[in-house]
Amino acid sequence: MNWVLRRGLTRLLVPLGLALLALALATAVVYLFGVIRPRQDPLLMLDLQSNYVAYEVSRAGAATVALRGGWVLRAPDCLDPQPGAPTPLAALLAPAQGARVEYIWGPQTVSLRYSAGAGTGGRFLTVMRDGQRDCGLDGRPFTVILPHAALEAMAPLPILGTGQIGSETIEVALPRDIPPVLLPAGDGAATIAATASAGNYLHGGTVSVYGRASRADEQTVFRVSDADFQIPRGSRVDFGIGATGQDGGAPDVLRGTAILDPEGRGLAVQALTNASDVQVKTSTSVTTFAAGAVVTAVSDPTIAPLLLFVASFIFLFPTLITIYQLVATRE
Amino acid sequence: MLKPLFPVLFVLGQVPGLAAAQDAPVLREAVPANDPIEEYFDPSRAANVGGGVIVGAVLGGLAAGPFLADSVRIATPADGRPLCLRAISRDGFYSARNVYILRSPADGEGGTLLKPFSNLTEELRGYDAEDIALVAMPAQEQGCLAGETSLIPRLGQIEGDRAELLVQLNAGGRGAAWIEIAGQAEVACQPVAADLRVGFDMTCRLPVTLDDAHQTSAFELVVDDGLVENRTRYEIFLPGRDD
Repeated sequence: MNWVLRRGLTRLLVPLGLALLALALATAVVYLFGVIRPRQDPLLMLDLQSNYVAYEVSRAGAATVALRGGWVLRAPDCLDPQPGAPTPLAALLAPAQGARVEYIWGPQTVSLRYSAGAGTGGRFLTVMRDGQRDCGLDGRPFTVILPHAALEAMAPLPILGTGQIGSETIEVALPRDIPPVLLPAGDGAATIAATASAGNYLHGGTVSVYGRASRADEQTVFRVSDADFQIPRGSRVDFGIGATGQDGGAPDVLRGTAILDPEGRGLAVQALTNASDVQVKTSTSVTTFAAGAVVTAVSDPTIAPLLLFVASFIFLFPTLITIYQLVATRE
Repeated sequence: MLKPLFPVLFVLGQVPGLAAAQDAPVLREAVPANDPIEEYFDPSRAANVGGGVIVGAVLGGLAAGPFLADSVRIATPADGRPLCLRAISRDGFYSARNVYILRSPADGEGGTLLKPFSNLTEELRGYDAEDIALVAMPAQEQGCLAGETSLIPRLGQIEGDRAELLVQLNAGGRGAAWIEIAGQAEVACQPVAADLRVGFDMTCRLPVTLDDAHQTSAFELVVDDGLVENRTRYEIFLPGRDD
Protein backbone atom coordinates (compact mmCIF):
# COMPACT_ATOMS: atom_id res chain seq x y z
CA MET A 1 0.00 0.00 0.00
CA ASN A 2 2.75 2.35 1.05
CA TRP A 3 4.70 1.39 -2.04
CA VAL A 4 1.74 2.20 -4.32
CA LEU A 5 1.32 5.64 -2.74
CA ARG A 6 5.02 6.43 -3.12
CA ARG A 7 4.98 5.38 -6.75
CA GLY A 8 1.89 7.55 -7.44
CA LEU A 9 3.55 10.54 -5.79
CA THR A 10 6.69 10.11 -7.90
CA ARG A 11 4.55 9.93 -11.02
CA LEU A 12 2.96 13.27 -10.02
CA LEU A 13 6.20 14.94 -8.93
CA VAL A 14 8.23 14.25 -12.05
CA PRO A 15 5.90 16.06 -14.49
CA LEU A 16 5.47 18.85 -11.93
CA GLY A 17 9.24 19.27 -11.70
CA LEU A 18 9.56 19.21 -15.48
CA ALA A 19 6.87 21.87 -15.76
CA LEU A 20 8.76 24.06 -13.29
CA LEU A 21 11.98 23.51 -15.22
CA ALA A 22 10.26 24.47 -18.50
CA LEU A 23 8.85 27.56 -16.79
CA ALA A 24 12.28 28.60 -15.56
CA LEU A 25 13.85 27.99 -18.95
CA ALA A 26 11.11 29.96 -20.72
CA THR A 27 11.63 32.87 -18.31
CA ALA A 28 15.36 32.75 -18.99
CA VAL A 29 14.70 32.76 -22.75
CA VAL A 30 12.40 35.79 -22.46
CA TYR A 31 14.97 37.55 -20.29
CA LEU A 32 17.76 36.77 -22.76
CA PHE A 33 15.52 37.95 -25.56
CA GLY A 34 15.16 41.27 -23.76
CA VAL A 35 18.93 41.53 -23.35
CA ILE A 36 19.56 40.76 -27.02
CA ARG A 37 16.74 42.96 -28.23
CA PRO A 38 16.17 45.96 -25.95
CA ARG A 39 12.81 47.69 -26.27
CA GLN A 40 12.98 49.97 -29.28
CA ASP A 41 10.81 52.94 -30.12
CA PRO A 42 9.39 52.06 -33.55
CA LEU A 43 9.67 54.56 -36.35
CA LEU A 44 6.40 55.81 -37.83
CA MET A 45 5.88 56.92 -41.38
CA LEU A 46 2.84 59.19 -41.52
CA ASP A 47 1.01 59.48 -44.82
CA LEU A 48 -1.90 61.82 -44.17
CA GLN A 49 -4.24 64.10 -46.08
CA SER A 50 -5.32 67.13 -44.09
CA ASN A 51 -6.70 70.63 -44.48
CA TYR A 52 -4.51 71.83 -41.65
CA VAL A 53 -0.95 71.41 -40.44
CA ALA A 54 0.56 73.41 -37.57
CA TYR A 55 3.99 73.10 -36.01
CA GLU A 56 6.47 74.93 -33.85
CA VAL A 57 9.84 75.22 -35.53
CA SER A 58 12.60 73.07 -34.06
CA ARG A 59 15.28 73.84 -36.66
CA ALA A 60 14.97 77.36 -38.00
CA GLY A 61 17.53 76.80 -40.75
CA ALA A 62 15.59 73.94 -42.30
CA ALA A 63 12.13 75.50 -42.08
CA THR A 64 12.76 78.20 -44.68
CA VAL A 65 10.26 78.43 -47.54
CA ALA A 66 11.19 79.81 -50.95
CA LEU A 67 7.98 81.52 -51.96
CA ARG A 68 6.89 82.53 -55.45
CA GLY A 69 3.54 83.89 -56.53
CA GLY A 70 2.18 84.56 -53.07
CA TRP A 71 -0.21 87.31 -52.00
CA VAL A 72 -0.40 89.25 -48.75
CA LEU A 73 -3.69 90.92 -47.83
CA ARG A 74 -2.48 93.08 -44.96
CA ALA A 75 1.17 93.64 -45.75
CA PRO A 76 3.37 95.45 -43.23
CA ASP A 77 5.13 98.64 -44.37
CA CYS A 78 8.44 96.90 -44.99
CA LEU A 79 6.84 94.84 -47.78
CA ASP A 80 5.77 97.93 -49.80
CA PRO A 81 2.03 97.31 -49.61
CA GLN A 82 -0.22 98.48 -52.42
CA PRO A 83 -3.14 100.32 -50.91
CA GLY A 84 -6.45 98.56 -51.28
CA ALA A 85 -5.06 95.58 -53.21
CA PRO A 86 -3.32 92.34 -52.33
CA THR A 87 0.48 92.69 -52.30
CA PRO A 88 2.38 90.18 -54.46
CA LEU A 89 5.25 88.46 -52.71
CA ALA A 90 8.24 86.46 -53.88
CA ALA A 91 10.62 85.98 -50.99
CA LEU A 92 12.42 83.66 -48.64
CA LEU A 93 10.36 83.15 -45.51
CA ALA A 94 12.61 82.30 -42.58
CA PRO A 95 10.69 81.51 -39.37
CA ALA A 96 12.51 81.90 -36.05
CA GLN A 97 13.26 79.01 -33.71
CA GLY A 98 10.03 78.20 -31.81
CA ALA A 99 7.80 80.17 -34.19
CA ARG A 100 4.38 78.72 -34.99
CA VAL A 101 3.84 77.83 -38.64
CA GLU A 102 0.46 76.82 -40.05
CA TYR A 103 -0.45 75.51 -43.50
CA ILE A 104 -4.16 76.02 -44.17
CA TRP A 105 -5.73 74.50 -47.22
CA GLY A 106 -8.59 76.17 -49.07
CA PRO A 107 -10.41 75.04 -52.23
CA GLN A 108 -8.52 77.60 -54.37
CA THR A 109 -5.56 78.54 -52.22
CA VAL A 110 -3.22 77.46 -49.44
CA SER A 111 -2.42 79.95 -46.67
CA LEU A 112 0.91 79.99 -44.87
CA ARG A 113 0.43 81.64 -41.49
CA TYR A 114 3.33 82.53 -39.21
CA SER A 115 2.94 83.67 -35.61
CA ALA A 116 4.77 83.74 -32.30
CA GLY A 117 4.92 80.32 -30.66
CA ALA A 118 3.79 79.59 -27.15
CA GLY A 119 6.33 81.13 -24.80
CA THR A 120 8.37 82.80 -27.53
CA GLY A 121 7.72 86.45 -28.18
CA GLY A 122 9.50 88.93 -30.41
CA ARG A 123 10.35 88.43 -34.05
CA PHE A 124 8.88 85.22 -35.41
CA LEU A 125 9.56 85.62 -39.12
CA THR A 126 12.07 87.27 -41.42
CA VAL A 127 10.97 87.97 -44.98
CA MET A 128 13.93 88.26 -47.37
CA ARG A 129 13.50 89.74 -50.81
CA ASP A 130 16.08 90.17 -53.55
CA GLY A 131 17.82 93.52 -53.20
CA GLN A 132 15.60 94.64 -50.32
CA ARG A 133 16.17 95.04 -46.63
CA ASP A 134 15.07 92.13 -44.44
CA CYS A 135 11.57 92.54 -43.10
CA GLY A 136 11.24 91.26 -39.53
CA LEU A 137 7.76 90.54 -38.24
CA ASP A 138 6.35 90.36 -34.74
CA GLY A 139 2.94 90.91 -33.15
CA ARG A 140 -0.04 89.75 -35.19
CA PRO A 141 0.07 86.60 -37.30
CA PHE A 142 1.43 87.07 -40.82
CA THR A 143 -0.39 85.25 -43.60
CA VAL A 144 0.68 84.60 -47.19
CA ILE A 145 -1.92 83.24 -49.60
CA LEU A 146 -0.77 80.96 -52.40
CA PRO A 147 -3.00 79.97 -55.32
CA HIS A 148 -2.81 76.21 -55.90
CA ALA A 149 -0.84 76.74 -59.10
CA ALA A 150 1.85 78.72 -57.25
CA LEU A 151 2.17 76.03 -54.59
CA GLU A 152 2.58 73.33 -57.20
CA ALA A 153 5.57 75.22 -58.61
CA MET A 154 7.28 75.34 -55.21
CA ALA A 155 9.33 72.85 -53.23
CA PRO A 156 7.35 70.83 -50.65
CA LEU A 157 6.54 72.81 -47.50
CA PRO A 158 8.73 71.75 -44.56
CA ILE A 159 7.36 70.41 -41.27
CA LEU A 160 10.03 70.23 -38.56
CA GLY A 161 9.21 70.20 -34.89
CA THR A 162 6.18 69.62 -32.70
CA GLY A 163 2.59 70.28 -33.56
CA GLN A 164 -0.59 68.87 -35.00
CA ILE A 165 -2.17 67.69 -38.22
CA GLY A 166 -5.93 68.17 -38.42
CA SER A 167 -8.27 69.35 -35.70
CA GLU A 168 -11.01 67.57 -33.77
CA THR A 169 -12.82 70.72 -32.63
CA ILE A 170 -16.45 70.80 -33.69
CA GLU A 171 -17.06 74.17 -35.29
CA VAL A 172 -19.95 76.05 -33.68
CA ALA A 173 -19.75 79.45 -35.39
CA LEU A 174 -23.06 80.35 -37.00
CA PRO A 175 -22.83 80.06 -40.78
CA ARG A 176 -22.46 83.47 -42.37
CA ASP A 177 -22.01 84.68 -45.91
CA ILE A 178 -18.35 85.58 -46.13
CA PRO A 179 -17.39 87.20 -49.46
CA PRO A 180 -14.48 85.48 -51.21
CA VAL A 181 -11.03 87.04 -51.28
CA LEU A 182 -10.23 88.21 -54.82
CA LEU A 183 -6.69 87.57 -55.96
CA PRO A 184 -5.22 88.59 -59.32
CA ALA A 185 -4.13 85.56 -61.32
CA GLY A 186 -1.75 85.18 -64.22
CA ASP A 187 -1.19 88.52 -65.92
CA GLY A 188 -4.15 90.09 -64.21
CA ALA A 189 -6.50 88.69 -66.81
CA ALA A 190 -8.59 86.64 -64.43
CA THR A 191 -9.11 86.72 -60.70
CA ILE A 192 -9.21 83.91 -58.22
CA ALA A 193 -12.15 84.04 -55.81
CA ALA A 194 -10.60 82.34 -52.79
CA THR A 195 -12.76 80.88 -50.04
CA ALA A 196 -11.84 79.15 -46.82
CA SER A 197 -12.23 75.40 -46.46
CA ALA A 198 -15.19 73.92 -44.61
CA GLY A 199 -12.93 73.14 -41.67
CA ASN A 200 -9.39 72.39 -40.64
CA TYR A 201 -10.00 68.69 -40.51
CA LEU A 202 -7.98 65.65 -41.44
CA HIS A 203 -9.24 63.66 -44.42
CA GLY A 204 -7.57 60.44 -43.36
CA GLY A 205 -4.42 58.50 -43.99
CA THR A 206 -2.24 55.67 -42.86
CA VAL A 207 0.63 55.25 -40.44
CA SER A 208 3.20 52.59 -41.26
CA VAL A 209 5.31 51.12 -38.49
CA TYR A 210 8.99 50.44 -38.95
CA GLY A 211 11.03 48.60 -36.35
CA ARG A 212 14.57 49.57 -35.53
CA ALA A 213 17.22 46.88 -35.80
CA SER A 214 18.44 45.93 -32.36
CA ARG A 215 22.11 45.20 -32.94
CA ALA A 216 24.98 46.45 -35.00
CA ASP A 217 23.79 49.41 -37.01
CA GLU A 218 21.30 51.57 -35.05
CA GLN A 219 20.20 53.29 -38.25
CA THR A 220 18.78 50.14 -39.80
CA VAL A 221 15.01 50.06 -39.95
CA PHE A 222 12.76 47.33 -41.27
CA ARG A 223 9.15 47.11 -42.27
CA VAL A 224 6.87 45.51 -39.69
CA SER A 225 4.32 43.66 -41.78
CA ASP A 226 0.64 43.99 -40.87
CA ALA A 227 1.35 46.86 -38.50
CA ASP A 228 -0.24 49.71 -40.44
CA PHE A 229 -2.75 51.96 -38.74
CA GLN A 230 -5.61 53.77 -40.42
CA ILE A 231 -6.25 57.29 -39.14
CA PRO A 232 -9.97 58.09 -39.19
CA ARG A 233 -11.28 61.27 -40.77
CA GLY A 234 -11.68 64.17 -38.35
CA SER A 235 -8.91 63.09 -35.99
CA ARG A 236 -6.06 65.24 -34.79
CA VAL A 237 -2.58 63.73 -35.03
CA ASP A 238 -0.43 65.36 -32.37
CA PHE A 239 3.32 65.01 -32.44
CA GLY A 240 5.78 65.91 -29.73
CA ILE A 241 3.38 66.38 -26.82
CA GLY A 242 5.41 66.49 -23.63
CA ALA A 243 8.74 66.25 -25.43
CA THR A 244 11.36 68.76 -24.39
CA GLY A 245 13.69 70.41 -26.83
CA GLN A 246 17.19 71.76 -26.62
CA ASP A 247 18.36 75.37 -26.74
CA GLY A 248 14.88 76.77 -26.12
CA GLY A 249 13.50 75.50 -29.42
CA ALA A 250 10.85 72.91 -29.99
CA PRO A 251 12.09 69.30 -29.96
CA ASP A 252 12.95 67.81 -33.31
CA VAL A 253 10.37 65.06 -33.20
CA LEU A 254 8.79 65.16 -36.65
CA ARG A 255 10.50 65.58 -39.97
CA GLY A 256 8.42 65.80 -43.07
CA THR A 257 6.86 67.83 -45.83
CA ALA A 258 3.47 68.83 -47.17
CA ILE A 259 2.39 69.24 -50.78
CA LEU A 260 -0.95 69.83 -52.44
CA ASP A 261 -2.81 66.51 -52.51
CA PRO A 262 -3.32 65.59 -56.16
CA GLU A 263 -6.73 64.14 -55.35
CA GLY A 264 -7.98 67.35 -53.76
CA ARG A 265 -8.00 66.12 -50.17
CA GLY A 266 -6.18 69.12 -48.76
CA LEU A 267 -2.47 68.83 -48.18
CA ALA A 268 -0.65 65.52 -48.50
CA VAL A 269 1.73 65.15 -45.59
CA GLN A 270 4.56 62.65 -45.40
CA ALA A 271 6.64 62.60 -42.26
CA LEU A 272 8.82 60.42 -40.07
CA THR A 273 8.62 60.36 -36.29
CA ASN A 274 9.05 58.11 -33.28
CA ALA A 275 6.01 56.14 -32.12
CA SER A 276 6.23 57.43 -28.55
CA ASP A 277 5.94 61.02 -29.80
CA VAL A 278 2.60 60.62 -31.58
CA GLN A 279 -0.95 60.64 -30.30
CA VAL A 280 -4.16 60.41 -32.31
CA LYS A 281 -7.13 62.32 -30.93
CA THR A 282 -10.61 61.65 -32.18
CA SER A 283 -13.64 63.47 -30.83
CA THR A 284 -13.95 60.87 -28.08
CA SER A 285 -10.56 59.35 -27.37
CA VAL A 286 -6.79 59.67 -27.23
CA THR A 287 -4.76 56.85 -28.76
CA THR A 288 -1.07 56.09 -28.86
CA PHE A 289 0.78 53.69 -31.12
CA ALA A 290 2.52 50.50 -30.15
CA ALA A 291 3.88 47.66 -32.22
CA GLY A 292 3.95 44.30 -30.49
CA ALA A 293 7.35 43.10 -29.28
CA VAL A 294 6.97 39.70 -30.93
CA VAL A 295 5.74 41.15 -34.22
CA THR A 296 8.70 43.51 -34.44
CA ALA A 297 11.13 40.82 -33.32
CA VAL A 298 9.99 38.44 -36.05
CA SER A 299 10.65 41.12 -38.66
CA ASP A 300 13.97 42.27 -37.19
CA PRO A 301 16.73 41.27 -39.64
CA THR A 302 19.39 41.14 -36.91
CA ILE A 303 17.23 38.81 -34.82
CA ALA A 304 16.19 36.62 -37.76
CA PRO A 305 19.27 34.25 -37.68
CA LEU A 306 18.60 33.57 -33.98
CA LEU A 307 14.93 32.81 -34.63
CA LEU A 308 15.89 30.60 -37.58
CA PHE A 309 18.33 28.76 -35.31
CA VAL A 310 15.65 28.19 -32.64
CA ALA A 311 13.11 27.07 -35.23
CA SER A 312 15.59 24.64 -36.85
CA PHE A 313 16.53 23.24 -33.46
CA ILE A 314 12.91 22.71 -32.46
CA PHE A 315 12.35 20.83 -35.71
CA LEU A 316 15.60 18.85 -35.80
CA PHE A 317 15.92 17.71 -32.19
CA PRO A 318 12.71 15.54 -32.02
CA THR A 319 13.31 14.33 -35.57
CA LEU A 320 16.78 13.08 -34.68
CA ILE A 321 15.46 11.41 -31.50
CA THR A 322 12.77 9.63 -33.48
CA ILE A 323 15.34 8.39 -36.01
CA TYR A 324 17.57 7.16 -33.15
CA GLN A 325 14.66 5.31 -31.56
CA LEU A 326 13.75 3.70 -34.87
CA VAL A 327 17.33 2.49 -35.37
CA ALA A 328 17.59 1.29 -31.73
CA THR A 329 14.40 -0.80 -31.83
CA ARG A 330 15.44 -2.48 -35.11
CA GLU A 331 18.65 -3.70 -33.46
CA MET B 1 -30.13 58.88 -11.15
CA LEU B 2 -30.22 62.21 -9.32
CA LYS B 3 -33.56 63.15 -10.76
CA PRO B 4 -35.58 62.31 -7.61
CA LEU B 5 -33.44 64.81 -5.69
CA PHE B 6 -34.42 67.65 -7.91
CA PRO B 7 -37.78 68.62 -6.28
CA VAL B 8 -35.99 68.77 -2.94
CA LEU B 9 -33.42 71.23 -4.28
CA PHE B 10 -36.16 73.21 -5.93
CA VAL B 11 -38.06 73.53 -2.65
CA LEU B 12 -34.88 74.53 -0.83
CA GLY B 13 -34.49 77.42 -3.23
CA GLN B 14 -37.90 78.70 -2.25
CA VAL B 15 -37.48 78.64 1.50
CA PRO B 16 -38.00 82.23 2.65
CA GLY B 17 -35.27 83.65 4.80
CA LEU B 18 -32.41 82.06 2.92
CA ALA B 19 -32.05 85.12 0.76
CA ALA B 20 -33.53 87.60 3.21
CA ALA B 21 -30.51 88.33 5.39
CA GLN B 22 -29.85 91.96 4.51
CA ASP B 23 -26.74 92.71 6.56
CA ALA B 24 -24.71 89.68 5.62
CA PRO B 25 -23.41 89.49 2.01
CA VAL B 26 -26.46 88.91 -0.12
CA LEU B 27 -26.77 85.37 -1.39
CA ARG B 28 -28.62 85.65 -4.63
CA GLU B 29 -30.04 82.65 -6.37
CA ALA B 30 -31.32 81.73 -9.75
CA VAL B 31 -33.32 78.62 -10.43
CA PRO B 32 -33.88 76.84 -13.72
CA ALA B 33 -37.08 77.65 -15.60
CA ASN B 34 -37.37 74.16 -17.02
CA ASP B 35 -37.69 71.01 -14.98
CA PRO B 36 -35.73 68.81 -15.28
CA ILE B 37 -32.82 70.92 -16.42
CA GLU B 38 -31.56 70.12 -19.87
CA GLU B 39 -28.11 68.70 -19.70
CA TYR B 40 -26.30 65.91 -21.35
CA PHE B 41 -23.44 63.71 -20.37
CA ASP B 42 -22.45 60.68 -22.37
CA PRO B 43 -18.88 59.67 -23.06
CA SER B 44 -19.87 57.73 -26.13
CA ARG B 45 -21.38 60.48 -28.26
CA ALA B 46 -20.24 63.71 -29.78
CA ALA B 47 -21.02 67.12 -28.42
CA ASN B 48 -24.38 68.83 -28.63
CA VAL B 49 -22.98 72.21 -29.46
CA GLY B 50 -24.23 75.25 -31.27
CA GLY B 51 -24.33 78.97 -30.93
CA GLY B 52 -21.59 81.51 -30.62
CA VAL B 53 -17.86 81.25 -30.88
CA ILE B 54 -17.40 82.23 -27.23
CA VAL B 55 -18.50 79.28 -25.12
CA GLY B 56 -17.23 80.36 -21.72
CA ALA B 57 -16.33 83.47 -19.75
CA VAL B 58 -15.05 83.64 -16.19
CA LEU B 59 -14.32 86.88 -14.36
CA GLY B 60 -11.78 86.41 -11.60
CA GLY B 61 -9.72 83.40 -10.68
CA LEU B 62 -10.99 79.86 -10.32
CA ALA B 63 -9.42 77.74 -7.62
CA ALA B 64 -7.40 74.93 -9.15
CA GLY B 65 -8.94 71.51 -8.62
CA PRO B 66 -12.12 69.78 -9.66
CA PHE B 67 -15.12 71.56 -11.12
CA LEU B 68 -17.61 72.18 -8.32
CA ALA B 69 -21.11 72.27 -9.76
CA ASP B 70 -22.75 73.39 -6.51
CA SER B 71 -20.90 76.69 -6.31
CA VAL B 72 -21.34 78.15 -9.79
CA ARG B 73 -22.01 81.88 -9.56
CA ILE B 74 -23.02 84.14 -12.44
CA ALA B 75 -22.81 87.93 -12.49
CA THR B 76 -26.27 89.43 -11.81
CA PRO B 77 -27.50 91.80 -14.48
CA ALA B 78 -29.42 94.82 -13.17
CA ASP B 79 -32.68 94.23 -15.02
CA GLY B 80 -33.30 90.83 -13.48
CA ARG B 81 -34.09 89.30 -16.84
CA PRO B 82 -34.08 85.51 -17.23
CA LEU B 83 -30.70 84.17 -18.28
CA CYS B 84 -29.85 81.69 -21.00
CA LEU B 85 -27.05 79.54 -19.73
CA ARG B 86 -24.88 77.42 -21.97
CA ALA B 87 -22.18 75.06 -20.80
CA ILE B 88 -19.86 72.65 -22.54
CA SER B 89 -16.91 70.61 -21.40
CA ARG B 90 -13.58 70.79 -23.19
CA ASP B 91 -13.91 67.19 -24.34
CA GLY B 92 -17.50 67.76 -25.49
CA PHE B 93 -18.96 64.95 -23.38
CA TYR B 94 -20.95 67.31 -21.20
CA SER B 95 -23.19 70.07 -22.45
CA ALA B 96 -26.15 71.98 -21.05
CA ARG B 97 -28.55 74.69 -22.25
CA ASN B 98 -31.01 76.11 -19.75
CA VAL B 99 -32.93 79.25 -18.83
CA TYR B 100 -32.54 80.48 -15.27
CA ILE B 101 -34.91 82.81 -13.44
CA LEU B 102 -33.58 85.14 -10.78
CA ARG B 103 -35.31 84.60 -7.44
CA SER B 104 -33.61 87.47 -5.66
CA PRO B 105 -33.60 91.25 -6.10
CA ALA B 106 -31.19 92.20 -8.85
CA ASP B 107 -29.18 95.38 -8.66
CA GLY B 108 -26.27 94.54 -10.90
CA GLU B 109 -23.87 93.81 -8.08
CA GLY B 110 -22.37 90.57 -6.86
CA GLY B 111 -23.00 87.09 -8.08
CA THR B 112 -25.97 84.78 -8.33
CA LEU B 113 -25.71 81.18 -7.27
CA LEU B 114 -27.17 78.76 -9.79
CA LYS B 115 -29.30 76.36 -7.86
CA PRO B 116 -28.73 73.85 -9.18
CA PHE B 117 -26.22 74.30 -11.98
CA SER B 118 -26.30 70.60 -12.66
CA ASN B 119 -27.72 67.36 -11.39
CA LEU B 120 -24.55 65.59 -12.50
CA THR B 121 -22.32 66.96 -9.73
CA GLU B 122 -20.30 63.78 -9.37
CA GLU B 123 -19.63 63.39 -13.10
CA LEU B 124 -18.52 67.02 -13.32
CA ARG B 125 -16.09 66.56 -10.43
CA GLY B 126 -14.02 64.54 -12.87
CA TYR B 127 -13.21 67.74 -14.75
CA ASP B 128 -10.73 70.44 -13.86
CA ALA B 129 -12.19 73.79 -12.86
CA GLU B 130 -11.41 75.37 -16.23
CA ASP B 131 -12.48 72.37 -18.31
CA ILE B 132 -16.18 73.26 -18.17
CA ALA B 133 -16.87 76.43 -20.13
CA LEU B 134 -20.06 78.26 -19.27
CA VAL B 135 -21.52 81.62 -20.10
CA ALA B 136 -24.91 83.30 -19.67
CA MET B 137 -26.78 85.57 -22.02
CA PRO B 138 -29.92 87.62 -21.36
CA ALA B 139 -33.02 85.83 -22.64
CA GLN B 140 -34.98 87.68 -25.29
CA GLU B 141 -38.73 87.60 -25.66
CA GLN B 142 -38.39 84.91 -28.32
CA GLY B 143 -36.29 82.84 -25.93
CA CYS B 144 -32.61 82.25 -26.27
CA LEU B 145 -31.08 83.61 -29.45
CA ALA B 146 -28.36 81.73 -31.29
CA GLY B 147 -25.44 84.04 -31.84
CA GLU B 148 -26.36 86.32 -28.94
CA THR B 149 -23.38 88.57 -28.32
CA SER B 150 -24.25 90.04 -24.90
CA LEU B 151 -22.40 87.93 -22.40
CA ILE B 152 -22.75 87.60 -18.66
CA PRO B 153 -19.68 85.94 -17.15
CA ARG B 154 -19.31 83.36 -14.48
CA LEU B 155 -17.71 84.81 -11.36
CA GLY B 156 -14.55 83.50 -9.75
CA GLN B 157 -12.63 85.05 -6.89
CA ILE B 158 -12.25 88.79 -7.41
CA GLU B 159 -10.00 90.80 -5.17
CA GLY B 160 -9.95 94.58 -5.41
CA ASP B 161 -10.81 96.28 -8.69
CA ARG B 162 -8.58 94.31 -11.03
CA ALA B 163 -9.52 90.91 -12.34
CA GLU B 164 -8.73 88.61 -15.20
CA LEU B 165 -11.42 87.70 -17.68
CA LEU B 166 -10.90 84.19 -19.01
CA VAL B 167 -12.63 83.74 -22.36
CA GLN B 168 -12.98 80.20 -23.67
CA LEU B 169 -13.74 80.00 -27.35
CA ASN B 170 -14.43 77.52 -30.05
CA ALA B 171 -12.43 78.79 -33.00
CA GLY B 172 -13.33 75.64 -34.93
CA GLY B 173 -9.68 74.58 -35.07
CA ARG B 174 -8.88 77.63 -37.21
CA GLY B 175 -5.76 78.16 -35.16
CA ALA B 176 -5.54 81.95 -34.74
CA ALA B 177 -7.75 84.31 -32.76
CA TRP B 178 -7.31 87.50 -30.82
CA ILE B 179 -9.38 90.07 -28.96
CA GLU B 180 -9.35 93.76 -29.76
CA ILE B 181 -10.55 96.35 -27.26
CA ALA B 182 -10.66 100.05 -28.10
CA GLY B 183 -7.74 101.81 -26.44
CA GLN B 184 -6.06 98.62 -25.25
CA ALA B 185 -3.41 96.28 -26.51
CA GLU B 186 -4.59 93.25 -28.47
CA VAL B 187 -4.85 90.03 -26.53
CA ALA B 188 -3.79 86.94 -28.46
CA CYS B 189 -5.70 83.75 -27.70
CA GLN B 190 -3.72 80.60 -27.00
CA PRO B 191 -4.53 77.06 -28.06
CA VAL B 192 -5.70 74.87 -25.21
CA ALA B 193 -2.84 72.55 -24.30
CA ALA B 194 -4.81 69.50 -23.32
CA ASP B 195 -5.85 66.16 -24.66
CA LEU B 196 -9.21 66.74 -26.29
CA ARG B 197 -10.41 70.05 -27.69
CA VAL B 198 -13.89 69.26 -28.92
CA GLY B 199 -15.98 71.82 -27.03
CA PHE B 200 -13.47 74.64 -27.09
CA ASP B 201 -9.96 74.97 -28.42
CA MET B 202 -8.60 78.37 -27.40
CA THR B 203 -8.50 80.62 -24.37
CA CYS B 204 -7.83 84.34 -24.05
CA ARG B 205 -7.04 86.14 -20.79
CA LEU B 206 -7.99 89.81 -20.64
CA PRO B 207 -7.09 92.18 -17.84
CA VAL B 208 -10.23 93.94 -16.62
CA THR B 209 -10.63 96.91 -14.29
CA LEU B 210 -13.89 96.95 -12.34
CA ASP B 211 -15.78 100.13 -11.62
CA ASP B 212 -17.77 101.01 -8.52
CA ALA B 213 -20.97 100.43 -10.45
CA HIS B 214 -21.73 97.66 -12.90
CA GLN B 215 -20.94 98.36 -16.52
CA THR B 216 -20.92 96.81 -19.95
CA SER B 217 -17.64 96.50 -21.81
CA ALA B 218 -17.34 95.87 -25.54
CA PHE B 219 -14.67 93.99 -27.44
CA GLU B 220 -14.15 92.43 -30.83
CA LEU B 221 -13.20 88.82 -31.22
CA VAL B 222 -11.26 88.10 -34.40
CA VAL B 223 -10.92 84.56 -35.73
CA ASP B 224 -8.52 84.31 -38.66
CA ASP B 225 -9.29 81.35 -40.92
CA GLY B 226 -6.17 81.90 -43.04
CA LEU B 227 -7.99 84.04 -45.60
CA VAL B 228 -10.42 86.32 -43.82
CA GLU B 229 -10.49 87.85 -40.36
CA ASN B 230 -13.94 87.00 -39.04
CA ARG B 231 -14.92 89.67 -36.54
CA THR B 232 -17.66 89.48 -33.95
CA ARG B 233 -18.45 92.30 -31.57
CA TYR B 234 -19.30 91.16 -28.07
CA GLU B 235 -20.54 93.01 -25.03
CA ILE B 236 -19.72 91.65 -21.63
CA PHE B 237 -21.45 92.59 -18.41
CA LEU B 238 -19.06 93.47 -15.59
CA PRO B 239 -20.42 93.65 -12.05
CA GLY B 240 -19.59 96.51 -9.70
CA ARG B 241 -16.59 96.30 -7.46
CA ASP B 242 -17.12 94.15 -4.41
CA ASP B 243 -16.14 96.19 -1.37
